[in-house]
Amino acid sequence: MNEQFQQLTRRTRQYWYIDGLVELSFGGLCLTLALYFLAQALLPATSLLANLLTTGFVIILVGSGLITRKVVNTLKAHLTYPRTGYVGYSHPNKYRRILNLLVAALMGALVAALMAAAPLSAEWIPGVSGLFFAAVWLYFASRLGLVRFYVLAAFSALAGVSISLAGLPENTGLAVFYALLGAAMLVSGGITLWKYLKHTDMPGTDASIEDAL
Amino acid sequence: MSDDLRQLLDIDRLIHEPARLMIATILAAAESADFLFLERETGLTRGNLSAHLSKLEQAGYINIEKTYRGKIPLTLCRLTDTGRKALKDHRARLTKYIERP
Repeated sequence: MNEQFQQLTRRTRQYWYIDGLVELSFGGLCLTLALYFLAQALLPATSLLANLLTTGFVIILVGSGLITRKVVNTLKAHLTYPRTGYVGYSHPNKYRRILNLLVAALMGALVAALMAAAPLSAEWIPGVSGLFFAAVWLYFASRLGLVRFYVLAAFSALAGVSISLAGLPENTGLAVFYALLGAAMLVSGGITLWKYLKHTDMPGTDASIEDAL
Repeated sequence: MSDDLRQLLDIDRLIHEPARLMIATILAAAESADFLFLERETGLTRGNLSAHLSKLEQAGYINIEKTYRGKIPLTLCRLTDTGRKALKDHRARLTKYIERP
């Protein structure tokens, strides 16, 4: 019986990822980052546009993140909720948010320490990024039991480390890494969405029973 | 009959019923879920689900909010603190008896 409880709980938690829209949107975000690093790699370091891009990185990142969230919610409202229903998830509590911030700060400090200790390690930023994303995918994969997240974790680590071993310059390496990661997420999300749409229909709007509640 | 076994008779029958137990378990894993999701996950008919939801609501175990998304009616269900506690107690009690040597 405990297993049945766990299965129901797990299925409810997995539901947010049932349609692949999260991967599609984050794949888009990764491709935006790839374009950003490609522009940084191609533009002369002293050019006005390169400086604007550098100073505006946080705005681009936060803005893209907000747009991604909005796009996911809008698409789910049109594609997913009418087909298989709506599930609302609670936002992380204060303790959890502090823990998330601490982990992010620790990761930032580790990368900064690596850069300071060995300037050549800039080539290893794609590798470190790949391992970081792999850890994130692994966390979600083990929590939700979604096999495709294990595949994305392996791909992320492999892509990041391979790019670093290839010795590409920092921005070019990051551009290639985010392009590969974005493409992998688009493929994973696209297949998941295709399967989801194939197996679900838009139901009628007969709400008489619900109205009786 | 031992006191332990006699306590089994005092089990919360409202939440012990399999369909209602399923509904409560699903709602415990999320903040809220709508009628359609519960219908698909439990496999119950609309009328049956509606009846079970009404019973859970009357017991104060869930809140039912009727709203709209665009022009489509939306029935949102949430587990209350009382419902969450009832589910937790019930699971603990069942586990205690099932795992007994």
